[in-house]
Amino acid sequence: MAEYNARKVVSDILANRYFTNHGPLARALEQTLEEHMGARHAVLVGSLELGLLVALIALRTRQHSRLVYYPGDEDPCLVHVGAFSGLSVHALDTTDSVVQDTDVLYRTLREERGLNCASVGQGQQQLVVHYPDWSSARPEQGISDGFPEPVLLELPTRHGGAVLLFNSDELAERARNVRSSYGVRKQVPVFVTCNGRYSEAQAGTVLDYLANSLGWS
Amino acid sequence: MSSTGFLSTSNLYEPEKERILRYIDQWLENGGESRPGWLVSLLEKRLCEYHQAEHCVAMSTGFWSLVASLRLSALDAPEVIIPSFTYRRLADVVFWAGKVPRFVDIDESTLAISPESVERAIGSNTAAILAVHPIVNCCDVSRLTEIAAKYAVPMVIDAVESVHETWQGKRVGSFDVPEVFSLHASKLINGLEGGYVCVNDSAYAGRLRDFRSRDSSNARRLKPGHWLASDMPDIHAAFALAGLDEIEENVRHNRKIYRAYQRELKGVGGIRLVAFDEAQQTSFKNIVVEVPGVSGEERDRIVRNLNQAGVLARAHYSPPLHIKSHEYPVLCPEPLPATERAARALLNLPCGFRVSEADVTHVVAMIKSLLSDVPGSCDG
Repeated sequence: MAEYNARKVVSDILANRYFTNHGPLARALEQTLEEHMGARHAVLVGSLELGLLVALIALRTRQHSRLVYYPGDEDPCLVHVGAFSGLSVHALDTTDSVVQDTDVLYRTLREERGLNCASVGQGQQQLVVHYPDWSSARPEQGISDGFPEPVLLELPTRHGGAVLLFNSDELAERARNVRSSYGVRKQVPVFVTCNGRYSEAQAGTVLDYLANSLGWS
Repeated sequence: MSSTGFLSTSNLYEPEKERILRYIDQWLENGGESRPGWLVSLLEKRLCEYHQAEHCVAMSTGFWSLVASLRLSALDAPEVIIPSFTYRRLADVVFWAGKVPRFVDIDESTLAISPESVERAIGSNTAAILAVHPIVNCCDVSRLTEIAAKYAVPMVIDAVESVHETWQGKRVGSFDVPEVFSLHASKLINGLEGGYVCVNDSAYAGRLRDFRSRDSSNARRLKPGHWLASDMPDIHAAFALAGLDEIEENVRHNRKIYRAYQRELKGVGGIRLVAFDEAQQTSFKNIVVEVPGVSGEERDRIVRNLNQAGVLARAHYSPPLHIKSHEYPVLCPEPLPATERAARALLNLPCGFRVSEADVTHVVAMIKSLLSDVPGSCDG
């Protein structure tokens, strides 16, 4: 379990006197993740599941109707994410292929594979969920230019939430606008908002873990 | 002026540091993260007592508490009846609940969802009523409950701004329908972020707990759309518990600010302060004023000028939801004249823990000065 100093997190929040969302701790964490993960934009979200919903709405086109995955990537949360977002959820078998206009491909990367190991699916609309081994996470595991985006990473600490990594300015801003009004840099129209807000306490626990357990500054 | 340089409409109550840390220490002594939810359970128990409710289920946000409550309550029909004059994201809540919002009008005297409008809107397409307490006082819970029972339609109450209130002497949170509250820092109890549902039905409370659970076995067995990991962090619960301990001090401060507005606004441009019903228990938190004889455009100009000076006043629930464009389907078959009049005339003024009586004097002086430039206003 990723450990952090809860007393310090509380003290930091009170010292900042910033209690709502996307305050100094969340901004510092987004900047840290951008630098260490090699992405232009890190968009924090309250949980992994909310990250999936935010990403699906940010990626949404009128043609999208299916959320598809390969059998090895099955996850029990997908049927719920599909129900919330209005997409039907399908497992692909060996004879199926991803339909470019209608499908969003859900993929997972487990801890033993760095992000740059994923090379399939160029040109397809993809949502990649990465579960890094935080105890050995290194800055060089950042996303490369050609990597499908967004990548959704579950953050360490139990309620540390998740982060969406983007290189596209446009997609990142859409995700911020779907998340909530806090942290928005420019208002852009989105299909629906979802309140994926991220708290200062969540940011504080992750920052404390990254600094003290991984030595990230 | 507040130390941040801004005067906002958020409550931003700051519980005593040592009190928060005492809760954190209790949690750590009881296992900390190896016993997640220990402080959350304590908070739920305290909130049950506070609201006189049988069950309280804490969740990650008020927004997702509303979505969960609607998902678990609604009938197999397409529409959810909601007021248009309300929180700007409420139609989005209905979208995530898998339903279509059907907007209805308010009662002009209370600014709350109109029971008559609700009754006119009910039909075979109605899946639920999402009643909302306005930010000052309550909606007509008795009449709405009667209507919901008469037509056998479930009702959920959005009570995010009504944590401390009573309706006809009965605590909000004890009405035996799902009542949803927020612990966002802008609300009366500052849990940084979070929400909770009070309910008396133990089976329903169990379904809410399943909905929020991180347990993937729940995700596998529950109906699609009846699960989304949305439990509350214990640090948020520590803030909320400390805030709950200090709620009387919080309300005392808000009452002082409300009284200051009452004094300062007397005779200013005919401005009407929306009054709290002091026959009931109330939080005195939100300050809403009506500026008569001023167009919506002039009202918006006043807001812009106040904002430029660091006074983060807001046009109250403007534009209303039925006027906004939505990418997903919404319904508004009837005109909503009371909503449209209210949306042109009302302002939220700064309130909460960081506002002082001197700030109120400053804000009212600014409004008076701005009104003197408005032809047709009582001061212009």
